[in-house]
Amino acid sequence: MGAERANGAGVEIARMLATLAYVLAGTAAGIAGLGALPRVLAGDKGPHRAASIQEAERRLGARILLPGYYPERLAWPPAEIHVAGGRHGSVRLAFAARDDGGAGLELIAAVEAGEEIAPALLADRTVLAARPTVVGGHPATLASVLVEGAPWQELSWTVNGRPVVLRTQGDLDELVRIARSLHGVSGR
Amino acid sequence: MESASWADILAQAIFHTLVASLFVEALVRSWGVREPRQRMALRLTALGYPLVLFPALVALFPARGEEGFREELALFDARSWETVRLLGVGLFWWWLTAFAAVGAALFLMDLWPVLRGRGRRAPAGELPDPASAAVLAAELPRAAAALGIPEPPLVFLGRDLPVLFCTGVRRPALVVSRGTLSRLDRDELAAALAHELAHVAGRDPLKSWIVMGLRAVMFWNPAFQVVSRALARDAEWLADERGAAACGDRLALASGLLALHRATAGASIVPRSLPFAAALAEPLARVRSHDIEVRCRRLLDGAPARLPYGGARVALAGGALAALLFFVV
Repeated sequence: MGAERANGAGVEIARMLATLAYVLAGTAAGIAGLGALPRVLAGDKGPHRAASIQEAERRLGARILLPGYYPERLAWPPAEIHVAGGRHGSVRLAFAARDDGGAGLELIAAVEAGEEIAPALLADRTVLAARPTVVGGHPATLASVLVEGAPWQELSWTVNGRPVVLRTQGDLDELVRIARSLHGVSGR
Repeated sequence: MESASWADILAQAIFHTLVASLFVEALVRSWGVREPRQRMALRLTALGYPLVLFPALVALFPARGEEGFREELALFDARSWETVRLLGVGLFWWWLTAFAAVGAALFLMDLWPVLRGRGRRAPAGELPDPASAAVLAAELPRAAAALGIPEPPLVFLGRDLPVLFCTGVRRPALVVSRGTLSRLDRDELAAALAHELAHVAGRDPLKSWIVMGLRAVMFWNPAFQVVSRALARDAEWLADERGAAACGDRLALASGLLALHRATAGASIVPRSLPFAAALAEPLARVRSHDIEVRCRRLLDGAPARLPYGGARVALAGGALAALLFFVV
């Protein structure tokens, strides 16, 4: 009698928990579906945060262009990594100075030749002045821009057909040396 | 960006309550919860969610609002709907506005009859005629004793329109008309009085005002408004069960309900001071007919059984909801 009652209670508890599990799973699946719907409807425009360079490369399905020259004053790894435009899209790496007060640097690039940089990665900016220049023998544009109200120096050109934007709030010489190192040209 | 963060919290509260109510309804049906107290306890989990659990989630885990959480861990990010645009505006804002408008409309639908009746005087009690006084003197003390409560004050209306309800927050009173007494036989009257006294015993007039106050705070939350209405129907069901148990005649209560409903269908109801009673009486006549039908069927079906582990079910539902909605921003 006691064993029968215990068995009945066990069945009831199992039924209760199983029902809870499938209702919970169904609700979670429904919520996840709703969460994924905007990406399906609007296309995966991003930007999305990536935890590491490796994860960003995995998401983009391509290697990310990194400078050969990297100043000592900047911390590694990048403080923020964002990808946008789906596979073979674009990446933005934000580098912070090792000391908190130092100037930051941003590298924004498409990972495929001939592709545009995903607009989602180019924050609203106002060009104050621009002039043509050369980076490692390649034509480039050097501009003074305001990004979200803050002044930056911005260099834009292409590396093997891939558009690249390099921004700094610090030294212009350092910016050019980093840019040249992206072509395999020594920073020095 | 301050307004954006408030919009985020508002959107989360609305979506969380919606998920909580659907989740609880799914559990009520899947578990087969038929006992009104247990249904109310589960629905109170959904109703309490935006009032207790959600503010705790926002206050204790501010990191849920950060981009990293939204990107990496969140199951649903309401802001992602901003990327889908309609007429130049993100769907996030369309959803938020539409849900808030529906919530406000549902609240106003129930508030309006209360406000409209506010200026009117409460019906003045009269001395019952000898025949009515004799019937009430015989049935009321018996029903009160069966429910274990003192006999409440009686307000008698000498009109032919059937009226029977309880009213009053601090000292609930029973309002009954001559029309009610003339339409119900003794068994039906005993059952109907027991139903109303069950409301008095449960302090339902006070509870309905508390819920109305919470609805006013959550006027922008449509799921909260809908669950509140469901709770009001559960309170009616509970009063049916307690009343039927007290009078011992389920059929008489069903028959009395039908007789009073038939007599009042299409007629102007006496203004009431209870928000839910007023709300359900006039504008939703069709819904009311359906509700009466459902209540009668339940009475004919017999007393619903309580499921075992009722407290554990409520705790599990609340815990599962909190865990799931942690990942919804």
